[in-house]
Amino acid sequence: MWYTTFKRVLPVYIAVHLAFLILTYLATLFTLPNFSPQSLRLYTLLHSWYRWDSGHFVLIATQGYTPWWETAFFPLYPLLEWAGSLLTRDPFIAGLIVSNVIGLVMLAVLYRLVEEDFDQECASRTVLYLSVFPTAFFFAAGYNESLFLCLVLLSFYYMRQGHWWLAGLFGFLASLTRSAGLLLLVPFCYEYLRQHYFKLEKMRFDAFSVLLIPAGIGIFAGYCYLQFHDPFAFAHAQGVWRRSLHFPWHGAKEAFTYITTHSVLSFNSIHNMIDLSAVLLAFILIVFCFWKFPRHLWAYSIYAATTYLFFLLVPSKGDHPLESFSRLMLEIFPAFIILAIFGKKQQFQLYYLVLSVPVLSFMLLQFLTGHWIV
Amino acid sequence: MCRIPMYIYYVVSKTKQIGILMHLPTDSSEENKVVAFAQPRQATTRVLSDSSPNNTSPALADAPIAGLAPTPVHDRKRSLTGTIFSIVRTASKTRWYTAFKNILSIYIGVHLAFFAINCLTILYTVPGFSKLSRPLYTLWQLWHRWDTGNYLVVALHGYVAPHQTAFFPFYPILERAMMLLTSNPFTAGLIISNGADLLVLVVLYRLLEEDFDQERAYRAALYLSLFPTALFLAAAYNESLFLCLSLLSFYYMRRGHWWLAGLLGFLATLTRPSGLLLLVPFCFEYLRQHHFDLQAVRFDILSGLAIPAGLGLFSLYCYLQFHDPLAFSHAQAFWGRIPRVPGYGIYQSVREIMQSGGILNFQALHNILDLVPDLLILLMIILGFIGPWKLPRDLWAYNLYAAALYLFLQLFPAAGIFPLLSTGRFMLEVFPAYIILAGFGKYRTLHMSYVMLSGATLCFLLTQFLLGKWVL
Repeated sequence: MWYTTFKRVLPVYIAVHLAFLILTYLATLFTLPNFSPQSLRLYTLLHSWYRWDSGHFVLIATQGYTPWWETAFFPLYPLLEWAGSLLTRDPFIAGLIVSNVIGLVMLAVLYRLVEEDFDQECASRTVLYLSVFPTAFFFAAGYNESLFLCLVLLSFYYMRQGHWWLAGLFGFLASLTRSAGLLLLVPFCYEYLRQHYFKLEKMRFDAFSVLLIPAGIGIFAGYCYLQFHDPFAFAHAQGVWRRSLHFPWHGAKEAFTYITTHSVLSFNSIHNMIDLSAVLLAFILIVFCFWKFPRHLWAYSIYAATTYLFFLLVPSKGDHPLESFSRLMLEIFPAFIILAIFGKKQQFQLYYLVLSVPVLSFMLLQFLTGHWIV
Repeated sequence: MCRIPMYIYYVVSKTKQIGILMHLPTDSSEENKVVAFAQPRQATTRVLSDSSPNNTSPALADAPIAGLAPTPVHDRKRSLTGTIFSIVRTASKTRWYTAFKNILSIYIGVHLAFFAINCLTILYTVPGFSKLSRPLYTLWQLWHRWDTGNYLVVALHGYVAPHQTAFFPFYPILERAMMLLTSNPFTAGLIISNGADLLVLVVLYRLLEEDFDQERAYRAALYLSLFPTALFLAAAYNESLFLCLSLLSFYYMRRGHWWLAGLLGFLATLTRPSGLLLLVPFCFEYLRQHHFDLQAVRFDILSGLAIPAGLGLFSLYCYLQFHDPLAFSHAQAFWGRIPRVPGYGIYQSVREIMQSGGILNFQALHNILDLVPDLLILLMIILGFIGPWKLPRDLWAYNLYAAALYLFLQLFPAAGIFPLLSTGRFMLEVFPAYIILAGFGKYRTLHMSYVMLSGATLCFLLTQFLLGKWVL
C-alpha cells in the first residue's frame, strides 16, 4: 500500500528536485560577471543552499543552545542534524539529507491522507501543487519545514484513522519541531469528539493521548528552564525578531499601508506584496475549506484556520510585518487540497503551474544568491 | 491598422454578450465544432483566397462567412453596430475563434508569469533592506537589452553601416510603422512581438489541430511558450514575427493556397534569412498535393519564387546602399560566423566545455545553455523521421522543413568560445520539433517534467535577460 503511494509521488518529487538541481547549477551565472574566466569549485553549489536560518540550525546542532534567543528554533530538527552528522560529519549536509528524505515521506503521507478522504486525482494534484508552491524550495533547504509538515500530516493521518496514541506521538514530535505543532490539539479534540459522536460519556482512556501534544513543548520548556531559568525562553526569543502579539489583521493592515504609502518598486514593497498576497490567498482558501469540505472533514478546516490565525497573531514590527508568511503558508496544507479541488478544471491547473513554477524558480534563485527570502 | 480597434471591440462584445461561453469551454467547443464542420469547404477556400494576407486575425479572416450563417438581412442593414454584431456572432463560431479561445489561457498564463518575474526582478537591482525604489517605467526598460537596440537603430536611422544588414528589415519596418501610433519605437517593437506571439499560438494551434488533434495542438502551443528561450517571443526581437509568418506560410501551403503561402514566405524571408528554407516544404507540399506528377504542375508553382524574392529584394537594397549584394551575409563575419559543416558547432561547443576547466564557469554554463536545447530539438527532429513516433509520410513537409532549417541554423557557428551562440533562441523557429515533443506530452509524467524543468529554466533565463546578463 505504502509502496504504491511512494511510486505515485516519486515522479513529482524527482521532477521538482531536478528543477532545483538545474537552478542551483545555473544560479552560478548570477555570481559570475559576464565573460569572466573564473571557475568555481563544485562545493559552492552545495554552499549556495547554506542561507539564513540554515545557519541557526547548524549552530544549534554543533554547539547547543548557547545564546538564549536561539531557542526560537525548536530542537528536533537540530537534534536530527546532530545525529546525522555522526555519519556525514557535516551537520549542514546531514540537515539537507534529513529535509529531503523526509520531504519525500511527507509527500507520500499527504497523498495517502488525501486519497483516503478525497480521491486519487485530488491527492496527486495536492502533492503537485504543494511541491511547486512558490516557497516550496524550503522543503529541500536546511530548514525544518518538511520535517514539521511530515509530522503534522502523520499525526493528522492517525487522527483520521482513530489511532489516538500514534496521533499523539507524532503530535508530540511535531511540537518539538515547531511551536505551531501545539495547534494539533484543536483538530485532535474535534476529531476525537466527532468520532465519539460528541458524547462525553463515550470518551475512553485513550483521550489522554492528547496530552502528548503539549508534552513536546513542555519538555522543551523544562529544558529552557534548566538552561536559562526561563521556561518561556522560546516565546520571549520571538522578541529578537520583534514579533509581538497583535490582532490577526494588524500585520496585513500594516503591510497594505506600507505598500500604499511607499513606492511600489522597492525592496520593502515587493516583499510586503509577496507576503500579503500569500495572506490573502490563504484567507480565501481557508474560507473555501469551510465551504467545500463536508462536515465530517472539518478537522482540516479547523486546523487550517487555527494555524492561519496563529501565524497572524504575532506579526513582526518594522517594514516587514508579515515576514515569512509565504513560507509558513506551506504548513496550512488543507489550503492545497482546496487548490487541488479547483485543479479539476484544466484551465486552473495550467494557470497554477505556469505561474507558480516560474515564481518558485525566482524565489529559489533569490535564496541561492543570498538575497533575503526567509 | 484600422482592424485592431475592431478586433478589440469584437473581443469585448464577445465577452459581454456570450461571456458565459468562455466559462463553459466544453459546450462551446462542441458547438463550434459542429458549426465548423457544417461549413462547406469550397466556401471557406474561396473566402480565404480572396482575403489579403494580413487578414489573419480570427475575427476578420472568417468574417465574410457571416453571409453563410442565418443572419437576418434587415438586421445587418439597420446600423453599423448591427453589422458588427452579426459578424461577431458568426465569427465566434469559426475555428479560428475556437483556436484563439483555447490558446488564450496559455498566452495569458505565460505573460502573467513574465509580468510577475519582471516585477520581482527589481529585487536584484535594489540592495537588500534599502529604501531605494525604482520608477515604474523600469519594468519595461528592463526589456531593452542586447539585439533590441540593434533593431531600434535600424528602425530609427535605417541601415547606416554594412554590418547592420545582419538584422533583416521587416521587423524594423514594422517598428517604424507602429511608431506612428506609439511614437516610441521600443514600445512599438514590444507590441509587435507580443501581438505576433499571440498569433503564433493561434496559427500553430490551427495548423496542428487539422493535421493532428486538439490535444496535441494545445500541448505544442504550451511547450513552445514554455521553451527555455521563449522569453524572446515576448522581447523586442523578431523571433515571434518570423515564427508567425513562417507558420502562416506553412498553414496556407498545407491548405494549397500557394500564392498566399508564397507571399507570407516572402515576408518571412524579409524578417529572417531562415525564411528561405520555407522553399523546401513549399516544393515538397506542392509536389505531394499534385501526386508527384510533373504534368500536374500548374502556373501557381511560380508563387514559390516569392520566397527567395524576399531575400532578393533585400540583397538589391544592400547593393544600392553598400555596393555589396551579399552584405547581410558578409555581416555575419562581424560576429565571427563563417560557414562550417553542420555539426561542427556542436563538436566545438562540447570541446569548449571540456576545455573550460570544470563545469562551473561562464564559458561552460553558456555553452551548455545553448547545447542542451540544440540537442533536444535535434533529437525531436530525428524522432520525426524514424522510430515509433515518426510522422506519417504525407506530413513530411514538417520533417523536411525542420531538418532543413536545423541544418541551416547549424551552418554558421560563431568563432571563439561560444560556437553555438544564440542557437538556443534559434531553436524556437523549428516549430515542427514541438509537434513531436507534444506527442510525448500524453505521458503525464513527461508533461509535468517538461513544464517544470522548462518553466524553471525559462524563468532563469528571463531573469538573466532582464538584468542585462548575457543572454542572446
